[in-house]
Amino acid sequence: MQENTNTPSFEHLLSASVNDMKNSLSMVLQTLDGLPAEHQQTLGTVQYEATRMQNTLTQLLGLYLIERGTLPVQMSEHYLIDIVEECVIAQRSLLESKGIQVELDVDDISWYMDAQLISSVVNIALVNAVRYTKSQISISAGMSDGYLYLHVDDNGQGYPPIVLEKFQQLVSDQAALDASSQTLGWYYCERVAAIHCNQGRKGSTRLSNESQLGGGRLSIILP
Amino acid sequence: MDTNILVGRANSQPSPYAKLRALVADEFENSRQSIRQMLIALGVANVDVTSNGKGVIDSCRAHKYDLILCDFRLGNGKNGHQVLEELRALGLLKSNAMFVIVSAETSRDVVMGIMEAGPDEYLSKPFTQGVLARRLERLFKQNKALEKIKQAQAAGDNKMLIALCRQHIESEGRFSAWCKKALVEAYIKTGQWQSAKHLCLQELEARDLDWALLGLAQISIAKNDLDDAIQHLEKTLQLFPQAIAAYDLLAECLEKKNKTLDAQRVLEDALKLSPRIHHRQRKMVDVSLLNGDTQTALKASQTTLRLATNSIHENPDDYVKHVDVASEAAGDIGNSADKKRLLNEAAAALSQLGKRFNDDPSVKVRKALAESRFHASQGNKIDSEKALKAARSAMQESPESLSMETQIELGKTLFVSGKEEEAERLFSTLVGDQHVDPQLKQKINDFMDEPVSPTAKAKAKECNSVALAAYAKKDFPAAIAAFKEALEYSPRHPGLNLNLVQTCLKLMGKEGEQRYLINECLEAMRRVRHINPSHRQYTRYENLKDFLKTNYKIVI
Repeated sequence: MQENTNTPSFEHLLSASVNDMKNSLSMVLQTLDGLPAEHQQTLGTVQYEATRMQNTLTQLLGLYLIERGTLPVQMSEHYLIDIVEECVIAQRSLLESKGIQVELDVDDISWYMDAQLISSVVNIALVNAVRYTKSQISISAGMSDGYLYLHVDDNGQGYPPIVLEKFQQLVSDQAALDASSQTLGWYYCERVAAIHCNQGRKGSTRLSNESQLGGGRLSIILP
Repeated sequence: MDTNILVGRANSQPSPYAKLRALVADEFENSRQSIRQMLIALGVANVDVTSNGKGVIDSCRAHKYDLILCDFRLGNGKNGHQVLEELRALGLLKSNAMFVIVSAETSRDVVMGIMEAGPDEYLSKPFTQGVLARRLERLFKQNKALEKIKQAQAAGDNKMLIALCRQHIESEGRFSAWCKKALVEAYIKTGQWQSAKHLCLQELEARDLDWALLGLAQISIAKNDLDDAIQHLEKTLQLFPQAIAAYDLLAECLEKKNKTLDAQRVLEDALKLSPRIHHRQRKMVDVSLLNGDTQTALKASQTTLRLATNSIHENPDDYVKHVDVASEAAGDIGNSADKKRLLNEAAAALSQLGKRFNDDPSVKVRKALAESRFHASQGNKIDSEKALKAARSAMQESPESLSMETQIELGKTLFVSGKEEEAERLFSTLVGDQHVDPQLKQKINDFMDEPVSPTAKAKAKECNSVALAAYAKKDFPAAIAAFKEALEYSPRHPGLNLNLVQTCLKLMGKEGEQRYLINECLEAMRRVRHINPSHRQYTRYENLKDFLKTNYKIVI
């Protein structure tokens, strides 16, 4: 039986509400952009929290749709650099307020993926790095063994072993998901990466301290 | 590269967009103005705004835009998807114009619908000015690189398209992936199967790609190798469960192979993914009717009409079909409130049909015929007769409006209003006419085989499978009983009648000649006298006729 498109399902309600909230947050962020920069630190904190709320909403809706099996997935060829640059530009104000420098070292690779979904993952990784970094973030990408590797590095203190272990359990589905926003974000990234398949291989994510800048690293690996 | 360099680019150089004309369509004033301000800040000289779909169409009639940013939701009236389809159908877009659908929607039915409409770009809301700047930069770069190719595509010049795509791929151009896909499509359109297949296989060696798998399926369909096509399509869906085009093609192949139940299941899956597509809902009406599933047909028919409203897809066929489907469905239910609602729906479709196409003489005829069938289905002979009379006089007024399809509709109307002999005469003239398209002849034969309701068809089908199972077990008396039950629902069905004859002959072969079995054979053969040389069962019919004559001295 086809779904009735007349009456709104919970899915439509959730989706509409999430979009509405994201819109409001975007208005908040736009308003903040117009403020004088004298309270830069406070500004940065508010921007960060609003951006994090946007991402949390994306994750919430995304994970719900994945669970229901109704997440739209549109695979097509995209240049990774386009996606990464857009994410960085979208966070320009936040990065400026926080005084964070972003270096890009992304090879000019075109890849078969859902650009919308990968963009949300890169964005989450970027905002995650904003939280942990001291002053610098580096995004690098390249190809190896038929996989696309995208690393988001920071120059913070790196992740303590217990966090790395928790991440490992999370992505291997060994631990029940504790719903802190941090793990929720990582879980979303892992699930989205895993939607990307090629010739029997599956995408994944990795958390490590292999950052070129000496801090933590979140890697997205796509087949 | 750091962020400051990225952002600085748009501001510090003279704007490359100074000569462009852009249109922003958004339901909400503040959203409209905010996007307009962004474009002006980027240096776009002319930015027009509009709040609804009609506004976009009107603006595009007045100006040739380079860039259109159109929200999916545009209030009452057309949505962004319908606007795009209409602009294309009316030829109001330049070949290098960029149509960007802007949307905050994330629900799959909308996202899939937008993707199927194929805008040049999809931009999700909210976005910052920086993101818009970067996206436009990329779009214009791509547009410029592919300008000649897109021109060839718009002009339908496949030869040029193939040459240009190959050139781009050989020089390892930035948009080679896009070109390969376009190349396969062009190869298929021009019947270059070998080249198309070679390219698809070559790409599939490197990675799983939905379009390459679909390409292989399309080649097989073009060569009429349906089994091979089905295999490719099933593989496509296994790897890419959201490759919507694969569902449509698969349903088409299954229907061609007469596996209409499977075809319906595939369409159900496709509609779960992407229900907002007119041609898909329409297909569902046809396929579910073949399966006697009136309820599904009704739902799909309602959605078809809803999707057609405000769009280029609005057409008389959908209304005529809806009248038939709704009155059929009304006959199936006892609940008088629901029944009344359906009859009102049929009546509304009739009046809509008259209003929307009032200057088309052939629609006048078809409307009167549909009205006659509608009244006949409710047992209202007087009004049915009146409408039929109106149809006949409309036909005389404009004989040129009487297409083959309309004549078939006339035949059906005659049949359901009790004028069976006249219907048969009309149909046998059409079937005997060598100028009539074989596909239409098939339609006539199909109707004459089973001029009964979809529900009755479905019941007959059920009894038929019971009978076939009994036949397989050599329980001929049980098979005969079940075939006879099936024939009560669908008396003229050639397959059923000939099956009955064959089973009777089997039983007599075992137990000797029986008077009552001979009678069954005689009656069955008489019921299918409409089988003509263009009929699928003609040879079987003739063979059985000969057999009865030789062995039992029966002349039909």
